[in-house]
Amino acid sequence: MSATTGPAPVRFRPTEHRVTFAGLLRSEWIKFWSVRSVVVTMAAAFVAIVGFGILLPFAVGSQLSSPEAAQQGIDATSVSLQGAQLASLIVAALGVIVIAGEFSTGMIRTSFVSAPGRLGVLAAKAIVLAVTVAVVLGVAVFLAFTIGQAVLNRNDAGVSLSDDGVLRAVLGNVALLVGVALAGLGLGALMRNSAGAICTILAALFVLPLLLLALPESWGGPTIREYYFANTTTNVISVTQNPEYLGVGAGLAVFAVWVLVLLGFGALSAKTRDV
Amino acid sequence: MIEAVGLRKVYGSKVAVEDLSFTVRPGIVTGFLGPNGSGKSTTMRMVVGLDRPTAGQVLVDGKPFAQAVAPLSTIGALLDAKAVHTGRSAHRHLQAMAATAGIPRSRVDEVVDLVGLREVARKRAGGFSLGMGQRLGIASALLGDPSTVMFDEPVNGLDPDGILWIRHLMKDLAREGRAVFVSSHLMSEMALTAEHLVVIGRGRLIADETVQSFIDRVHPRGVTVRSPQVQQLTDAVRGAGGSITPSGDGAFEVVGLTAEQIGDAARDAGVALHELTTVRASLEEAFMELTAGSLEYQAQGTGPAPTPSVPDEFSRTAKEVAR
Repeated sequence: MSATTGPAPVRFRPTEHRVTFAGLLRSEWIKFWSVRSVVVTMAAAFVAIVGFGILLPFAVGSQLSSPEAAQQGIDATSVSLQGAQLASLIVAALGVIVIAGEFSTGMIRTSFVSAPGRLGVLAAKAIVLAVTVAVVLGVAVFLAFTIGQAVLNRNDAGVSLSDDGVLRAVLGNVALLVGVALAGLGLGALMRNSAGAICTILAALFVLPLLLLALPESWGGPTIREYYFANTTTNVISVTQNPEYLGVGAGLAVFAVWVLVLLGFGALSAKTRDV
Repeated sequence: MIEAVGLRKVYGSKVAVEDLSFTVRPGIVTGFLGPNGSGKSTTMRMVVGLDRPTAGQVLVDGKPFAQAVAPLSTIGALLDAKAVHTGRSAHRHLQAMAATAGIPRSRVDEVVDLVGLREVARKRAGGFSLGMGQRLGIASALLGDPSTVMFDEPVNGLDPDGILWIRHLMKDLAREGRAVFVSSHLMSEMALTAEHLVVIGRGRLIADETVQSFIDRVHPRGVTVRSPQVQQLTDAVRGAGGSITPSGDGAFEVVGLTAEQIGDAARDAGVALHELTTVRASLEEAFMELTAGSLEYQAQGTGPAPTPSVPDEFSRTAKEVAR
């Protein structure tokens, strides 16, 4: 080997493969569908929505047609969409694992070296997640509603999409699923740890609302309950309205703020911290 | 091309890298050498913007890597830790990477073949051996046909065939005019591949020079001489301006003259020579000498300047280089 290090005889001219946002979207799409746990989680959410959409109407079908049920305001739409509540917990976990899984395996280093601006990766991931959840689970929600109402109609208890507030409630369930998935993504980017972030978001969705019920009025309990993340969609996802919670428009807006704030913290953390 | 200027990185109260400046030029292999824990991986992470320098900056092709418009064509990096989702196949991993910059699918197949992973490309990367993981990392690094490649301990986990392959690969990449930056804690490895060395210890720059001048600087050369005519030889060497000392076992070490000068002087004086060997410090010895005081994790009871005990393999390879 020679010890001389003269000037290089050739100067390498690379083909410039520029990173584009469309490219990042394609990349995230490939990533999303090429990890088994993500596909399985997605399938589980689908089955939960459609499965409960069929089972519950069978179980409550005859009670729903009774005059007592009508007086208590039991809602045919909600009965067929109960599965979306369970699915919202599943997609929260899904949102977490699509990002935290990259941090725990080291894949994030590849992602951030391929697109060192980092925020593009996160934005593309959020869009792919949101669109996939909206389309795939949107189909599940409409399927559950259609089958569920057909079952209820055997007792003449079903409703149709054209009935007052029904389509809005059905779409509200889709919005809930998309929002919760994005909240999971934000929390996953912030915490970088699947187990921790999943526990946190399940507690936020499931446990905290129950604890908030214990808050007395003198502590601002009703207001806190109204504006709390998991409670903002109470009236968005059902035809029957509960006056103790925010109305549809306000609820959806506050829910969106919660989701955007979580995504913002996640993006800030991803952008500024070492990986 | 990589230019680091005054890099400093502090994790909490621990200084990982301190005032580190160096340049990695195109067309040659630059070795990045240091004991384990000396800050090599931290530095490489700062080069590709994964870690933010506490002070100073590092430029890739003239600008911070975070501003690169074609990152995969700017630098191809194999970092020390795995950077692959364990649940994804090698092929899908590369496809996802390629998609970010519109790199054609044919290029994915090309790099898969280049690193010899075709058979297992459809299997989950989580099941890969260390060596297969390294090959996938190298495929990822080469995907965008980058003008700079940076490999952190690339021979880790590779079998002898793989090691030979990567040495050739790095030299070929450099010959094509790319800047090649490769880290190792093994002197012998650097001796075989690198032309230029950046040596660090405890995060500080120890040397930034050619492999040869690195050896020369640390240890002056001597020549081992044997002759049955000791007195005449001593006179001849001193007469020619050299100094001669017995080095045991009937041999002598001459300093200040080249082997050629000693041979000529001996001939003129009519002295028979039985051995005439140029002795050079091995790269391993040079390294030990320079980094002795800067080992991060030194064994208890080891003095500040341990006697370099050089395994046979290392000194042999270093001698080969010296020739």
